[in-house]
Amino acid sequence: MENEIKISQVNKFYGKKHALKDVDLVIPQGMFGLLGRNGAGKTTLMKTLATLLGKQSGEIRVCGVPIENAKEIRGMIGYLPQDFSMYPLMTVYECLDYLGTLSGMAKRDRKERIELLIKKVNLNEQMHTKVKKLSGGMKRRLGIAQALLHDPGVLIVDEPTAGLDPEERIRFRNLLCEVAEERIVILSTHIVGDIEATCENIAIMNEGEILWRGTVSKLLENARGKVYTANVNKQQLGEVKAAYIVIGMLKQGENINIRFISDKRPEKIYGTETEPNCEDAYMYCLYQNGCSLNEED
Amino acid sequence: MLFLKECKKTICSLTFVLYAAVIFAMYVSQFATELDAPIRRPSPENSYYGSIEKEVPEVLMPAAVESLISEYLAGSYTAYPFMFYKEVKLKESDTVKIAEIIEELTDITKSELDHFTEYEAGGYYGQTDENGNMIMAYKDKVLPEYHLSEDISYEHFKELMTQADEIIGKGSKYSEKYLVSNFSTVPMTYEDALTEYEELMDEHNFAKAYMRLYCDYLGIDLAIIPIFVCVGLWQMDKRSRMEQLIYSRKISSAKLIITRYLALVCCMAVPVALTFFHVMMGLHNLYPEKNIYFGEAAGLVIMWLLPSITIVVSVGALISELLSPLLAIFVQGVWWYVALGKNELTGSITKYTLVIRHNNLGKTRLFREQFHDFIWNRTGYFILSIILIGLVIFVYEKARKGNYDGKRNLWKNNRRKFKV
Amino acid sequence: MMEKEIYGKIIGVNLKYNFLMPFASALGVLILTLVMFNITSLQGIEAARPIEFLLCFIGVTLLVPIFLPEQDDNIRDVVCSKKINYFNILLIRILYSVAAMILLITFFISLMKVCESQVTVQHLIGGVASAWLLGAVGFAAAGITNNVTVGYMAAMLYYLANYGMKDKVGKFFLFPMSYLGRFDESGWLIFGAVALMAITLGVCRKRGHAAARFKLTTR
Repeated sequence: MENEIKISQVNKFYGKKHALKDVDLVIPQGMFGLLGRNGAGKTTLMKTLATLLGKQSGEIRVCGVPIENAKEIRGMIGYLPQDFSMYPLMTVYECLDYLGTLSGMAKRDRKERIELLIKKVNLNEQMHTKVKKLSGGMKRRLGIAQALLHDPGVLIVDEPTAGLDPEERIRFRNLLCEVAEERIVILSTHIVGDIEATCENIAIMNEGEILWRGTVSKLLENARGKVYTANVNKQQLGEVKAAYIVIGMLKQGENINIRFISDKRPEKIYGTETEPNCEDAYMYCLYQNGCSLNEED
Repeated sequence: MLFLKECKKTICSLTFVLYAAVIFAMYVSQFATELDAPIRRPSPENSYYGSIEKEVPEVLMPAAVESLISEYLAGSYTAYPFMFYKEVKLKESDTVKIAEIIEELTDITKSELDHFTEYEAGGYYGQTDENGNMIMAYKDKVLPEYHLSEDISYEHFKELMTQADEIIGKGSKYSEKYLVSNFSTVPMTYEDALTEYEELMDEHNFAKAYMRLYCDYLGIDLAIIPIFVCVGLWQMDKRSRMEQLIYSRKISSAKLIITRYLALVCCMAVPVALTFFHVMMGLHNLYPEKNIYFGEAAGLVIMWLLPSITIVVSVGALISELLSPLLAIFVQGVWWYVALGKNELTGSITKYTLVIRHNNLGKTRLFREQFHDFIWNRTGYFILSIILIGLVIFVYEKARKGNYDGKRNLWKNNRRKFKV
Repeated sequence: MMEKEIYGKIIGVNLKYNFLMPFASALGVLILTLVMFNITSLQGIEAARPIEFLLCFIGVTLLVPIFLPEQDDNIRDVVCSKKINYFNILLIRILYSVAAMILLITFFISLMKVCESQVTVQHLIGGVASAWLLGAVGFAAAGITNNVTVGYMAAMLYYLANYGMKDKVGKFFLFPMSYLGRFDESGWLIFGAVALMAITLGVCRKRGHAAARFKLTTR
């Protein structure tokens, strides 16, 4: 059986809004990051892969199975939506048991998997705690446990780290990396750090289009020689902002250390070329594709 | 097992607890007293045995004519076209025709009627006393003097009543259907009472007779209260923001909806079943010498009450899924009120009404006469429930695939709109 | 001046987003009453029937949804954590809902008058009292359980209890004019309604403060 997701020429409209534009993508086994601004179409693509939204045209095959075969696909995927909760009065165990039943799992399998996953996501002590009493991080971990319950070959997680504290975020990323060893994990986020720390392959989306697909190292390669740092005073800052895409500022005494993007070596000020990080590379990719970066979205 | 989990969800919901409390309260307050004492055989020494609707021309004719004269003088006629009570005002030409019917039935002429100014409808009315407080007072009916023609045959009288009904509009007091029940209630004789008693106490009937009264009381509640339990549970996924987690599971929409539906219906049947067993035990204690045909009684209760639960749950699920849970409550509330308002306490079983009434331990024969309509009604609603739940599955499947995004949920819309 | 602007805004937004549906439902009840009951040439008890038996549901349609906008816990927490007390917002909604209820019942009774029914001020007060009490029962249940469906259910159960038990309900019987011919019970009904709403508001106020405190400590 193929172990990849093939998306070809997929289009999706919400009324007149073109939410997915000729999306072409191959997602191999391992962690795959889908990066993009809010409203870029990430959730639409994720929901389409989870069979929760239809597409107007194009073809999607999940491990060789066409997306139209919703029942089979639902047995193969685990989905963790961006905005979710569970019945507040049920305990953690009861919730997982209920969702396992909806996935068609036998009682014995459910028991085994729930115990295993509860340990894996470190919720042992909360097994009999009601959902309403869980913290945000615990709920997220419960979310990942429910998505993995039926041992799916594909895991789709939409903005999983939003609202988590740094410690919880790191723990969550590690958990995802662990489960990605044996399956396809698609992680959508607008937080570049999450992708940098976990994914090898990524795609960048903007306004329903795929702007970039490839490895993180290629993305970094693409931005090499385009990122500069400089020390400027307050007067110069305005000029630099008008001429270049400023992606970072750090006040140092009277001066400001800025980080900016430029296709050519800057002429207006003295800038030092610097090694791009993933966030720089992402910003450069958006800039390269003509996305307006200095305006508020 | 999913079914048991859904049952647990239902039973643990606040709306279900309230539902069960209402069923028990209704049972205890309205019906349980019927089990306090057995029904005694009527004694020939009694002076009064109750009343009965019986076609007695000597009673029926004067009462109907008095009513027609009274309505003529009031200038308005009561009718029940379709389902609703309506006050009918006639145009001049029709008024003349009514006057002609009265003239044929009595010795009073149109001109005498039109010149009678002392008319009083009678009944209770409010008036203010010397302190300015509203008090209730009673006035007798005041009509002109008249005599019923002696040479009118009962058959001809009925023809004239049918004409009056056609003039007023179908469903008036004078229609063939309502003539006896409106104008011919007579005191029961000892023989009538004995026949009624023997019919009631027939071995195959007496448990069913109690069940008819039991179903009459519970049927009122079951035509409305299940909507709250259904709506409460149907919106649970949305309120808990769990919808997408469930949408993405492997289970088919048909299996999920049918399981939830069955769980709701079965759970709501439990308090009914408990009260039913209590009645059975009560009857056994009350009539230890009699055989109680448990299966027949249970069959009647299932036939009567189950379609009430299933149709209300189906309507609730469909409107909640399609439009909004609050609209489901509103629609069911209106339907219940209309169905209840239109019904008489006993003997108005029709093919279509949601609430079936038979507020009487006796009147076995009347129920038997209407049994065909009863079966038609209950089977019809049961089949309709199944069709509606099929539609729910269709809509749910559409929503699950993101193909239906109408005004599905008032909570959701309000959440989006809320700005303060 | 600023306060005036703020409260003006609150009233405007609430009327626009949270009042139209309940008002439409209340109109629906009024129309249904006109369809189901005769309102022509009625007197005393007869005239009280449509008002007490069906029109009283106007109270339910207007008063129970007062809690609907904050049924989502997250929204309630956000609203409760703001400077303007949640209690005040509820109070505003109650005021315009009760005003609308009185207005609609007055309109209905005027229609009866036009149709030559002998209706008095006592019919109006009695109608408002029944509607208010029935609505207040639903309002209290919805507010205390934070579940509007339970609110509607409680109101319906109270109606059924009155329908089944008649005057055994006591001083708070919903149909005193129609069943007992008593036009002086309205005071009890209004007292019951106001007391129920006051208790519910007290509970909500406490809850609002608790929510605000919780927000502050978790920040």
